[in-house]
Amino acid sequence: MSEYQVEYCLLIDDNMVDRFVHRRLLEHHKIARDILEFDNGKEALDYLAQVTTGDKRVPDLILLDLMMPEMDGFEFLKHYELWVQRSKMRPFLFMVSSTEDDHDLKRSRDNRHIIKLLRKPLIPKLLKEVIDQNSDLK
Amino acid sequence: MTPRNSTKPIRVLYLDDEDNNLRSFKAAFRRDYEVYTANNTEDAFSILKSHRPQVIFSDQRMPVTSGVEFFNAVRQVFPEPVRILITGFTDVNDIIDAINKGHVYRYITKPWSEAEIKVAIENAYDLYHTRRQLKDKIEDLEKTNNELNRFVYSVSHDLRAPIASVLGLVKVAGIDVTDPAASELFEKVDRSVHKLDLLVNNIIDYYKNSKATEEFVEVNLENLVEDVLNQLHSGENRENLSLQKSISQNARFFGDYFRIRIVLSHLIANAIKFKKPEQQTAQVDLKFGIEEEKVHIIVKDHGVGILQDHVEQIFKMFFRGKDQMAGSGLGLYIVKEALAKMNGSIDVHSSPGEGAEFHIIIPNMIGHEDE
Repeated sequence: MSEYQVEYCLLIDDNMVDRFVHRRLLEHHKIARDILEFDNGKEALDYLAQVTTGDKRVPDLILLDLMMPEMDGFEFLKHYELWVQRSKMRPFLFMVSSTEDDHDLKRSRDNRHIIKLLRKPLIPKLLKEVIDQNSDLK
Repeated sequence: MTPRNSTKPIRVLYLDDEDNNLRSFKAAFRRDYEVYTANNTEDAFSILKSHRPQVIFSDQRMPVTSGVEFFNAVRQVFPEPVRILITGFTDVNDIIDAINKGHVYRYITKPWSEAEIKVAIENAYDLYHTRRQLKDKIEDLEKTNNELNRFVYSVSHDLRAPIASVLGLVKVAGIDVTDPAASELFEKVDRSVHKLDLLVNNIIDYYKNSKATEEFVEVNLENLVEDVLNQLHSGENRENLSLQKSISQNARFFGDYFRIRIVLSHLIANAIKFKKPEQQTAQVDLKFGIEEEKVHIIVKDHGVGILQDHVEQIFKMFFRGKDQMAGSGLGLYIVKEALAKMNGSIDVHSSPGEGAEFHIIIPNMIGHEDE
């Protein structure tokens, strides 16, 4: 029985400060035991491809930033969709953003891969609750 | 004082079915003005199109179309040129009617004198010029205003990202910093940055409310409440809130989702902000009454309440009840503005120490939803 809520989390965010903050909050609140960071969506997709082939460790939580250069969060999710179909894996995926745009809110609700759009700064207690609520869906 | 650019003569069009009249008109004025003539409406329209005259004269009595009819047609396509009718005394009723309806600026009776026409052209041009300047000014102002709004919006939007990062760092400091003096400083940083975040959010909401057009969708109350809680300012998050929700729904509910969310966000944020100091969490009762015609929402808190003197003023821009309270004085103003856009109303009942009860009524937009 692990004291952490999930074992392995991927952070995808171009902002170094936010990755640092999220890492510390996830560690301190015992949400994720191990954490791997990516500063862009493309490298994260490469990693996920290697997860499918069994070469890399399977994540059970992904925190995905929305506004990133080159490939934004929604663009990432188009590729992610294919990965889910191929790999049959479904980590918890949350979008994390400082956006105040209602269209982003709507888009994230309409996207079936996103459990929830969380506002920055992350509220660990809220993330914990939502993971708990969704645990039975796995 | 003449507003006219001296290098460019005024362009004048004259329509008359008698070529003799056209010739004498042209002979009299071609040195002072750029004169175009036409003996039928078709030619007149093609001149209007290609040369853009600023002043148009037309004879009233013509075989196919009368001058008034011609002007009425011109007005639909070329509203800017000033229209002057030339007529005999016999058509008085037609003329009065035409002037009253705005088809014609003024009329000149036959036989006209050169001086009379000149004054008419100069005056008409003054009017044309003034209208033109006014129109340009208005367009200018609208453009500047839009740009300014857009600028404020995009700046506010961009500010949110670094603010969120700082708030996150302060959270981490709360975990990792053990020195009491440093902790105290970080708490102060946290409070200040929260204020900044609140202000930025209010500016964004204010802009979006003034800008966004109405979009009516079916309102899912579960989603609505969830979004309201999610959008709460980080310093007023749900940890400080105990929300009791009750719904009585007798019809489907269609409305302007975004504005309803704004209204509730601000009222609930206020309830958290103005809880009594001894209260751990703010208690808020949120009641929805959905009827076919209208929707009644009550937001009731059990906080410090509102002074009688202030009840009238809380919806004013930049009004702040107590100076030490964090806030921009924009929150309830935005609430009122958003409700005004929805044709809704808000009422508040409160006395100090008793909490406040906000009653909102908005029309149910069943049947007005977007395709």
